[in-house]
Amino acid sequence: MGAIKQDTPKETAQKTIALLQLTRIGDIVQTVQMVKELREVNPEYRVVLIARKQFANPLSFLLKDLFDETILLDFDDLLNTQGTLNLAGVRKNIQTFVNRINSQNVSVLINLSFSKTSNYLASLINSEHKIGTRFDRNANIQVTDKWSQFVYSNIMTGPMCPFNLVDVFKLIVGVKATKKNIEKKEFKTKTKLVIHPFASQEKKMWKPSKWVEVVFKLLKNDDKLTISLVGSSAERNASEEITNSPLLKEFKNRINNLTGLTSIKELYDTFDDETLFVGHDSMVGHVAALKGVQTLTISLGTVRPHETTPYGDNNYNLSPRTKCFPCFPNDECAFKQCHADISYQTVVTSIKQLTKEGKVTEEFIVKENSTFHLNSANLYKSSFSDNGLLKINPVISNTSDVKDVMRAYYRLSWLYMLNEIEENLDYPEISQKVYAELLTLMNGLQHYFELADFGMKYSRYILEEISGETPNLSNIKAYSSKIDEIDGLHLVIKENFPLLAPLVDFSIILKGNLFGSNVVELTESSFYAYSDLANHSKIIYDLNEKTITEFKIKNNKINSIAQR
Amino acid sequence: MSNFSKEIVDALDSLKKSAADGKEHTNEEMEVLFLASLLEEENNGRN
Repeated sequence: MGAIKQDTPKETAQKTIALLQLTRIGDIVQTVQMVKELREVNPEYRVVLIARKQFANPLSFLLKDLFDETILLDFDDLLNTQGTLNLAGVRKNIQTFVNRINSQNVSVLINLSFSKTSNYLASLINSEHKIGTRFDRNANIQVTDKWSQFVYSNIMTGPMCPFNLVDVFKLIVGVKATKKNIEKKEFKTKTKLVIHPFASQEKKMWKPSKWVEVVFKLLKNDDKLTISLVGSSAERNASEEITNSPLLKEFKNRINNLTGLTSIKELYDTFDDETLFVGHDSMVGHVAALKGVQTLTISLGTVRPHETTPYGDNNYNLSPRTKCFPCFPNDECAFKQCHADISYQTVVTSIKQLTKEGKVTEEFIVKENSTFHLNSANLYKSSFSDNGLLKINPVISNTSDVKDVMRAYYRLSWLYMLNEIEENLDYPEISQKVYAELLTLMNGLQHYFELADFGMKYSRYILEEISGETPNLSNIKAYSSKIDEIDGLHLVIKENFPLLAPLVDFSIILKGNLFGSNVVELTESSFYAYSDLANHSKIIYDLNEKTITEFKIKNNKINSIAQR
Repeated sequence: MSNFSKEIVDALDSLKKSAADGKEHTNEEMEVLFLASLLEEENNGRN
């Protein structure tokens, strides 16, 4: 009997992606949300998570089935040396830890933490490819992929990022943007309110007394409602300040203080269709959204609603219109005006409609609140774009400020420039004040475009000089110093037009991470960088011009009707 | 200052000197930098 020879297909080793996420629990939950989508689109990869033990362990119920392996960075273990604590012993522990990661044969290491510690760790790990920030052997930051350059230049430096962090992770990792199928659930009246009235910093949370007002009003207005306060054991005393308030005495049987009494898993398990979550920006909101629970976030201090709104459709975010909001963690602030700019009345009326109808409408919120309260806060609602990326839009029309409009422009331009993704944008509804601000910006954009154009020109001159028969070194030096001058002038634009800071900061990172190992390659890379920057500014310019024109047309129509 | 802290400070001083001489950091030096950064974060109680 003749044997049939069969070609055995070559076995290809499964590629391993290692995600470095050394930041807090909330960031790990957002990473989980991204990886869930990655798993759907690319089930063929092994995915390994590298996280801090103290932040990953409370989420082990979410991590165990999602990741092929979770490698924990345990600070106490690293410092556990035989005998007296000594540097050689700790270094040995670090090597053991890094070797454990290296034994995974990592194909792509993706640093999602953007912290100094994670940058050093990323430089120690062996991987075929590295995405995200890391240090080179001269301790200079290296960031070569475009979306990490975006994070480094936009999120780390200012509040103009138009994307939710889960989407930023998706874009860094390369999870394909696809339309989301949103499951239409039958609406159930919410009778259970879960409140997390705390956050990681004082700047980001109201004082307990303001929460007492909220709880009092809600329980007084709705006798079916029960409220659970949740949080960590460190927050127990503050939660008792709320529950022990004399004002709430008569409602004690409808307040359940679970602060410090539940694990994250227990909390996750209690969330259901009848729950509404309300709180400041913290891990609990992200956990609620992960379970599909509707959320209302009160963003204060350093919190950026566009980046941090819990990832899900139909979530709401209240943020103050205070001039200095959002601030930076190190900014001194004694008065906390942003805390006063969101009134408890606005929160209470939003919750009132959310519990009854699952939405907050402009009509309702305007009817139930005084202009005085509404003028100092923005209310946003989340939804998914056709590309499956989350966006938040103002609920009350004509309340977009100039930053909102610029964020909308940037959202379109970044997606197109970095991923060739096209999104639609309705003309933003703007006020006369925003119109004037946008008009001023046209000059800055024009200057920026001209500088990028000059950058292309001088990069080309260098290339032409090098490719000539007898390259003139002094000419090359002169062109090169022109390029330095151009880069310096970009900073002047940033100073005069702060809304263009995202473009300028990105150009600095892009120019600092040019590709190539010789003058020709680096100059070519410089030419393409300037070309990208010119195109980017042109997109923003066109969008701005169209918005301004549309506003003028609308206003002329209104004026001519008024004159009739 | 504990012996361990002194060891780290000395190691950081030494790697600063070698960097000033234009030398690239070795793996050992990167480990020290990682450790120093981790200690700083843990002491600050953030991240």
